[in-house]
Amino acid sequence: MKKMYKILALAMVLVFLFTACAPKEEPVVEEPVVEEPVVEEPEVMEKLRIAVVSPSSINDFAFTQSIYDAMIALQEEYGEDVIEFVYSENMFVVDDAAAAIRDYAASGFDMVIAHGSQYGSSLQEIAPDFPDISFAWGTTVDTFGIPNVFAYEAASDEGGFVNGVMAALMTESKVIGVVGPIETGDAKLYVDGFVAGVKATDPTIDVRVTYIGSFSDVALAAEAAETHIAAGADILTGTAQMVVGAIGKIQEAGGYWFGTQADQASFATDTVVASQVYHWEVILKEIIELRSQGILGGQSFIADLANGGQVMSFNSEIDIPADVMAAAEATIADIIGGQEIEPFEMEQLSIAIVSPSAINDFAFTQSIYDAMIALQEEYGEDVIQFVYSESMFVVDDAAAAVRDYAASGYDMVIAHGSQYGSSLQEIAPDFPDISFAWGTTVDTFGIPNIYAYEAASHEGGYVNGVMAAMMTESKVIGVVGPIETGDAKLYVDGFVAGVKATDPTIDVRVTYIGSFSDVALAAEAAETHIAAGADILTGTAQMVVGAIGKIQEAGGYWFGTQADQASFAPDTVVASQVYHWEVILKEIISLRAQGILGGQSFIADLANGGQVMSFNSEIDIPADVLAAAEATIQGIIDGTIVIELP
Amino acid sequence: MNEIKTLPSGQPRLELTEMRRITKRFPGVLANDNVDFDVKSCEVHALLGENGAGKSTLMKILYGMYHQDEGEIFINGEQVKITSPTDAIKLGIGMIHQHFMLVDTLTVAENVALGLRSSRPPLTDLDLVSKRIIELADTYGLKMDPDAYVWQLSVGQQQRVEIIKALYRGAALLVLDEPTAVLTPQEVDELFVIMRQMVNDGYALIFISHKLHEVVDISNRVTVLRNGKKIGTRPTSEVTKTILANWMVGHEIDFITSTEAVQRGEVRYKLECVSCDSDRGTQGLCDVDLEVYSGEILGLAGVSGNGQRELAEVMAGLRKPTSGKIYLEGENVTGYDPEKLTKRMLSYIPEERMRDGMIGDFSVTENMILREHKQPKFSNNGLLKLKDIADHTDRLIDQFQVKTPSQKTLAKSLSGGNIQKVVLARELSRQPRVIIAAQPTRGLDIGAAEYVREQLLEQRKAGTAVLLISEDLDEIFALSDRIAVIYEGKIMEILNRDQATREKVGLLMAGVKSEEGEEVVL
Amino acid sequence: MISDLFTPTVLLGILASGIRLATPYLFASIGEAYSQRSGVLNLGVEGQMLLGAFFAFYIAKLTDNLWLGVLAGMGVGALMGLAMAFVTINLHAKQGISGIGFYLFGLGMSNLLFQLLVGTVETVSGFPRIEIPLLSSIPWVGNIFFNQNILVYIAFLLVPVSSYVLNKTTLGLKIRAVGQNPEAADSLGVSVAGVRYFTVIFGGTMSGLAGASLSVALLNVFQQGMTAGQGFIAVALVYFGAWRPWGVLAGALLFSLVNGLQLWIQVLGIPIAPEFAVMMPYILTILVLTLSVSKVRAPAALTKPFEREG
Repeated sequence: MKKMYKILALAMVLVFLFTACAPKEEPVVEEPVVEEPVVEEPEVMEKLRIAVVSPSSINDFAFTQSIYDAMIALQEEYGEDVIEFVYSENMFVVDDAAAAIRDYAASGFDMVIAHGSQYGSSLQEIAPDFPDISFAWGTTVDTFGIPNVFAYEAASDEGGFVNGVMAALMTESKVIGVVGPIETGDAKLYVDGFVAGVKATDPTIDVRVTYIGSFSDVALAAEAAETHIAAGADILTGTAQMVVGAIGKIQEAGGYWFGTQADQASFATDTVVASQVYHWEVILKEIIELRSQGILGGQSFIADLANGGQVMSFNSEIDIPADVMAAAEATIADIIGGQEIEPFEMEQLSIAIVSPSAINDFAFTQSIYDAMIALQEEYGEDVIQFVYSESMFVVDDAAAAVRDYAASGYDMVIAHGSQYGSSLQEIAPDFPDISFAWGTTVDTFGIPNIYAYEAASHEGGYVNGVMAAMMTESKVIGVVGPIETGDAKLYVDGFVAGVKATDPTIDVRVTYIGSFSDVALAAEAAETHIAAGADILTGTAQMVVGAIGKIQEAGGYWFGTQADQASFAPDTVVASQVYHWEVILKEIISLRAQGILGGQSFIADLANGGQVMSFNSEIDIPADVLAAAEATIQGIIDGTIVIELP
Repeated sequence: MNEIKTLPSGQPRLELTEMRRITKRFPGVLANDNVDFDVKSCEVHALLGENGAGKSTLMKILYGMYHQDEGEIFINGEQVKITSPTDAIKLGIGMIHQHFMLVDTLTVAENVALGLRSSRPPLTDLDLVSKRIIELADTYGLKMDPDAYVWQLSVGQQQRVEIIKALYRGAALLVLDEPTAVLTPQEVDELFVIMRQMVNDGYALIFISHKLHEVVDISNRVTVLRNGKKIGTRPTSEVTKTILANWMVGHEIDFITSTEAVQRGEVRYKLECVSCDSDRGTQGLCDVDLEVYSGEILGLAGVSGNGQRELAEVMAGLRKPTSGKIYLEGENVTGYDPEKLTKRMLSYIPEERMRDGMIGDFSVTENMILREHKQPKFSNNGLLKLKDIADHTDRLIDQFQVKTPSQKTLAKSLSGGNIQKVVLARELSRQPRVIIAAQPTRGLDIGAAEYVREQLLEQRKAGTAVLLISEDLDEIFALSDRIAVIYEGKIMEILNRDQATREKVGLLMAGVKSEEGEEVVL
Repeated sequence: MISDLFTPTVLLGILASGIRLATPYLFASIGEAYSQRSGVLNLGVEGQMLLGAFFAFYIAKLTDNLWLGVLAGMGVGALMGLAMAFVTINLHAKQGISGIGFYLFGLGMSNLLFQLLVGTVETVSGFPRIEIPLLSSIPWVGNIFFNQNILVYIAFLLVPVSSYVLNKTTLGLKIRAVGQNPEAADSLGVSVAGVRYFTVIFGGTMSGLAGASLSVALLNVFQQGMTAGQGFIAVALVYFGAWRPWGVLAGALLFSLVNGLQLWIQVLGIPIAPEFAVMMPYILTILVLTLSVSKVRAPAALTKPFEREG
């Protein structure tokens, strides 16, 4: 327990330090003054003495402040003479809170509000001992069936949804970050509502959620915010009292914040666009009404937009675009009118990959592995889970692996090798509920649960060819291919076309070594090309690492494909065509979300970003070559360059 | 004080080598039971006994390949410990194994030098070794080319390499384990000449055999073992073949001959101008014409390797003829596989009974039904009728006196005679029309061989056509109604038993037609 | 177009390819020839090469000392040889399937260690070429034969040395005898197990060296599965070479020269389908094997375990 005190004390110090350091925006931070209960003569209304026990401080800009503000509002409405209240804040130790509740009950308060879902079990013990006293417990809907316990909760997903809609309309980077405490209760409700609002407005926006595992760790919340900002987020939101750290960070970054639980605009006036504010007084008034009828508990209440228990507060100091305001108002109206909020749930997807070479082959298999890592970074590791079986060059073994993965319940199995086609054709119909993806090919066999994907690798090949043609001095260029088929043939043909389109006099010599893995033979093919006068080589498939070494020794240049090979030989690899299969996989994932398990084929090309040309900055590529490459890329994308393949 | 006498090689003689109270147990078998044995220089001591009597075990103990459980070995009165062949060689003991211990891809000199310390390590000193080999060979009037590869040599020559190898290593006592089993009669005579000279030079020789006449011929003393026990040791001059035979088998035996006249029936099996290739791709059989009649035993005599194996395999359907026709009871069965011939009631007792006659890792029961396991009496739509099979096996074990611990015993753990009895039981119990018996008694002890011969005569009486292929002329003469002689894949001549003499057959075996009248010593 | 092949550049180019490609085969096949001559068929060569290649690469990278790398490659090959010897000689495991087991072990282990210890394809600066004075200035061929890295020289020197050892020394005599008739060798006091342990460990060491020659001398990278079946070709070359070092040399050179030839055929654009071109070395090997098989006898005791009776 001692330790907990220390941690919390530290957190509080940090809050104050932070607010002290923050720009002077006249933060409205009330001193936590314990007001003396003012005893007045009873008038029209029955005098009501209320005690509030809450886990954080009354000016936390969040959860506790919301109940404190509600009490103040009640006092304003009924008069301080009628509503008399005391509070115990920072009761994050449940045992201490329980003691306080019991003390208040014993000292004759009419109602004790246990404002923290963690106080439930204590209340369950205490309430029956004081049958004449009302207890209120939030946020929950559970009264335990005890006749003197009221339960109250906020439909915080509603305000979250509104915030989400607005954020989606205002983000420019299309990346939004969420800083949550622990994935439970009110916080989870708000976050899910927010994500749903964003996705309902623009499903392409990337909403990244972090739960930092603490309600109080301001420093960690700040760090989470920094991480989101670094990853491209321009709008953040968050819930619970530790978010003050996060708000400061997005303010520094010049982005926007959407708040909840209390109106956070006063904390960062140029940053907080809107806040969902809890107006517990709406609920408390109902409770007071019931009490006056002699009902001491047994009912539960939800504060929502419809009953005014939740109110959207827009920051007038920020120039919110009219359409955003209009959309927000419309959304509020819809919600009040009864629109259900479907929590947006990113389907958890378990993916298995079977590939013929090793994941770090600098080539074919690495391209799909990198794509999976990119997907995980985008959707989170909890959403995208993947396993892989690499080096499955024996097709029968690969088929067995594909079947095993399908049978053990993976959502999608990617057979990353054109040689796996006939196996997949047999296996896929046995597992109609599972998606299969097969590359590189365009053929789904007409099977409804197979996606096919292919790369337009001739496009990057063409770009490489144009560059190589301009850079060769010997006018001899060599190509080291594996087997004359599929992706390899496409790349090689594109490369040759690019060279010939640029300078038909150049001699492009193509060798296929008959193996995807024979590094020594690839090296020997490179030696042969070099002996035959080639000063630039290219090649495809994983065995080319042998060839790259040889052209490096000879002082020539290499053009790569499938993965960025520059890191392997920084002085030699001029450019690489890099596959970004994640572009295709994202389309597949969104189709899956619509219930479509396959039957379509995709091509990764320069236009859709599935292929990207990566130029090696360590090599001094002549400006005209680079310009020609850029022009070629543009031409391919807009269709002015049509690649003639043999 | 005795003067130490030396051999011509300069090695000291082993005047007296004694094995005292040797006992050796193998799991379930007492191979040697308290055996005393000794050998002196200047003598051939024959060790006689049936297969499994413990002769080889005793000698392998002397040569250090086995270790006795009890008993001691003394040389010239001093106790010695022999734990490996290397120890034995150091003591001057050499052994000529029944299966030659030669590397056939190496030259004679390399074989002799193998395992010896070279005079200029790490290189070999084959030139010196060759010189010494020629010296040793000259001593015994042998011709030997040290640079010849072993695979180029005849069996007799290989045996001489073995002897030279032992002598080179300084052997003064030589154990010869059934050295005559693989030799032609002429080669046996030559071996005996060498042995006699060695004895004169002071060597001690131990001669293991189960052939009585050879023992009587060559040895000075003879020891008989039976069932691991020593029956007795006598100077050879004091015993007769009959006495020795009685000691070996433990009871009186008679040599069986086919005395009973049986009416010869129709032609059962006929080869017309059949030729085939050998394993090495050369001509194996050349235009063979042969007829085997019902109720006769046709004996096929010949020196080993003249086409007997090929003939047997062609007749059993295991080897395809390159030309010619084969008829079984009038039906053209040329090119039929063994399964089809089995259905036509042909039985085959193969020469290599362990390799071709049975599956060593199968039980006795399983081996009993190898040929007929698909017949309805043993299987029902592919499922074996285990009860019927067991009953059948029980009957055969009883009828053919197979000594086996149980039906489940693995065939390979039976003795040679019992293995052959299992094969006979399987092949003969099915009332065959034709039997091809290739070397059916080779390697069997006297008792077992007699049993096999009796069974063949029984078959003859029942009217079966029997082809008996044997290199044992005594056996051919004892059983056959007619005798065919094969030489280099050709049938030289077919003689009726009453016209045939050993001289005539011997000449034919050497490839000499009787008209030419060349003199051949048998 | 075919006439393009008969230019000095191309012919010398083919020769140069042949020598480079033959180097790993020579190490592995001569080691395997020793092992087979003593009666042990080691099909784990591929695995030994892979692990040898990995350790040579890794240790060279770690210590910056190529010779330490080579020693590590040979050492790990020797250890795998020792294990192979133990399971086949002492435990009488079937040689064929044990070899496949060691192949799979080497494949998996080299992949695993590579991912754990290195992670991505990297280069190492391999052995430099050593120019032999005078000889290397012989016109045309001098540069091909006498301007190679040290391991290439060692590989080719290994041929006469190993042939001499096999044919002229007592050790060689024992190896040949043990592979042909272990019972006979045993009866003459030759330790069959000892000889086989020696040859199998030697074979493993040479396989490790073959792998090292790839990863720190010829290619200077390590890539998973980089031997791409060369270990199995090496075993085939032992049959091709009729279990003789000079025969193995002939086989390795023929196979490698034809491989060099097919690459030039493709580079020169001679209209032969690349699918056929890449098959040429294999087709030729199969042809020679088929034609020579009747004349050549394998060591009689090859794949047969030896156990003294009793």
